[in-house]
Amino acid sequence: MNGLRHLIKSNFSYWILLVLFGVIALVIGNICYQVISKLDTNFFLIHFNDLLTSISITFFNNIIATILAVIIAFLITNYLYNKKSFKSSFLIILISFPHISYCIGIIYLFATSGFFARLFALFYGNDIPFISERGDASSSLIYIISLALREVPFLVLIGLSVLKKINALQIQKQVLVLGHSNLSALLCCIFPIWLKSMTLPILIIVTFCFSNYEFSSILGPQFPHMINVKIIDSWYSTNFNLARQMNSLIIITILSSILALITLYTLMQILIGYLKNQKFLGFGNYNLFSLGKIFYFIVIALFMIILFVTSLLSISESWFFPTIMPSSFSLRGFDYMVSNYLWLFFSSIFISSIISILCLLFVVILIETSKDTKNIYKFLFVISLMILVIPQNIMLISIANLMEQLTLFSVSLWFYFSLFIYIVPYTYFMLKQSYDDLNPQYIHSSDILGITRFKSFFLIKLPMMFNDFLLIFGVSFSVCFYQFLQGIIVTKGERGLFNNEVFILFSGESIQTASAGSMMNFLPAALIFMIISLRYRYVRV
Amino acid sequence: MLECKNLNIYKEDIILIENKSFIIQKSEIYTLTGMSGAGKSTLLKYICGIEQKSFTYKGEILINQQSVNHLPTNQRGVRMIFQNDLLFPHMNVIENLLFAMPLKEKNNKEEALTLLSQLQLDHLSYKNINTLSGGEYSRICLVRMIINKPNVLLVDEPFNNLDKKTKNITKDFFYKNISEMNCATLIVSHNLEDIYSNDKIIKL
Repeated sequence: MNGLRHLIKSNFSYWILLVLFGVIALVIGNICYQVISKLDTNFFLIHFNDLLTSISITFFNNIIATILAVIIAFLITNYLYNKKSFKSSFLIILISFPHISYCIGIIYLFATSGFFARLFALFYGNDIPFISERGDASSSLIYIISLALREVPFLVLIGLSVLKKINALQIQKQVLVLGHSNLSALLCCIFPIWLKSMTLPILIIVTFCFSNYEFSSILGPQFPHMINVKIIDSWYSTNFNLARQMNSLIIITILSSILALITLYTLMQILIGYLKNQKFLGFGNYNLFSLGKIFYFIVIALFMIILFVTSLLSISESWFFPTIMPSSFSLRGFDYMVSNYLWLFFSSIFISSIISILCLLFVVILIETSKDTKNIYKFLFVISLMILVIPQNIMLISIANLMEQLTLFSVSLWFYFSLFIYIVPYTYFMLKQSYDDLNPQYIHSSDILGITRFKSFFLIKLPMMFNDFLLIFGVSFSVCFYQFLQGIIVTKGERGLFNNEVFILFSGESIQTASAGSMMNFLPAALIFMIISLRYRYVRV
Repeated sequence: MLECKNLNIYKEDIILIENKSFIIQKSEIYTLTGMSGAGKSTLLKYICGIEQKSFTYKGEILINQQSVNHLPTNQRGVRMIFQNDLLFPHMNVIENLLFAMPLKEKNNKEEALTLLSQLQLDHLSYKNINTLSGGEYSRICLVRMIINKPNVLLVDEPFNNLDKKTKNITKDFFYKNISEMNCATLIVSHNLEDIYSNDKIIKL
């Protein structure tokens, strides 16, 4: 007994992680069991043929969106990396932009009476080009471009640290002294090395594309819907056949995302192999900066226009087509939101804050109490990968199934757990980066002086990493605050975050109220990041 | 031919190099010596066109009697081996060498393999860069520059990280090849053993 106690005490971090690993493995195992045991092959094949259009739309839209996001992200990263005065805190504000508010904003821009149509009407009259919603190229185009541009800030932020890590400037100098052009340096060396290092973030983007509901249902083609939407429809359906269809949809999603990963990986390898054998000798010193600059401003302009149009809509009393500005203003939308949803708004902030802090504490304690941090990092990496690689909708369906089978715990607990596990990967990846950046000499010196680990954490690491901790909290908070599928799948609408309510408002309430909700949704994370960036500017550790 | 006229390099208000002029003709090998911090590496980088922001430069650089001050690094016709030279990690050894060759020709690969075998490095041809030792890495950097066939070559401490036996083999290989190429060469070295010719020394 004493031996067991000693084992648990000495390997505290391993045991905790083993439990977390076990729960996630149970969740994944449960869905595999459900799909395999309940799958009717004939039924699956019939559905596969019926759903072929949806499958192909989902597959190609997501692949093209990812490729586009990666290309634009590289061009912007290259531009920003060479721009000395650039501050990455601005990108973090873009990342904190809620998906729901973004999608609603895009609709406001591209709708037949939307902002762009109004601008178009101003110059060319009322003969506005029609955007089809029947699943053809034009509706897919909006989905692809919007999804790609939404993922760009995330890829750029990671891409910038990758360029620093691979020492892109030194590589460029090296290529130039061999007599090659700037374009050669960029396309034959920097881009392939960058792309290789970006495999994990690209993988995360692909699985997000295959599991997101907001983009597919708001911006995706409607007839037929994309697979992600069909999964949620089946999940909610009381129709027996439609509910049975879910197993087929889960397998299709998993197969499609695996195929997409293999396709993208193969494309990456072919591209890297092709580029490293090229020499762009005749291209002078063209460095693609101007292209990166154009895309950078397009991305910023898009986010700013969305914010501007949504804020106008939230306070507009009447805004008739084709006028550019509303004719009368009122705060009725905000009044309605405050009187009906203020409690949900603050409780969502409270839940997100508590979960983010707990997650941060959880990972810090695991790292600090372990004697072998390298193995803890590996363990956390595997767990994070498991969480991120399985499409979120499928993972949450499995959690909901487990919840029904294990009635020991309440719905709320499962809800919090499902939020928590999606914060762990982000907290871990950022925290590891922060620990890696800390000069180990300080810790060695404190060890030599005989200072305990506990004291060394509070007196050395914490003050030095405090800004990083704040940033990690900010990102975790925004990721948690904008989680959406938990409220739809795990609790079936019984409990949710403010984000879920904004989506419902968008499909039911007046445009003014929905926009007011969308604006409120943006506020908490924006406020936190503003405070963090002010602290970064004025308080240097 | 490399000619430097009235070179002045300042770091803030401190003069590092004052009014330095020299000419290196084709197939001549000069050694640049001086104390640590005297500005040897800074001078090479300036000739090459890699200017550092904290320095101020004055003077004219001529390659084959043409001023190149206004030209970017890759158009100057000057090649340089850095002290911490980089091999590209997404390419294996032979791909790194082929990338350095100015033109795509049929016998490029054979030529690269021949040069590698002269340094007894041919067994590394298809190895990943990350698996090389420090000495192998720096010798492959040398081969890569030789294969590039430069007209003017600047080399910063080329034989560091090598044991005595390997150093001698590498030095023989290096000097033999650059003599055959008729290349004007300037080598930075702290070590008196590395000086190629006692009458061709530039002191800073």
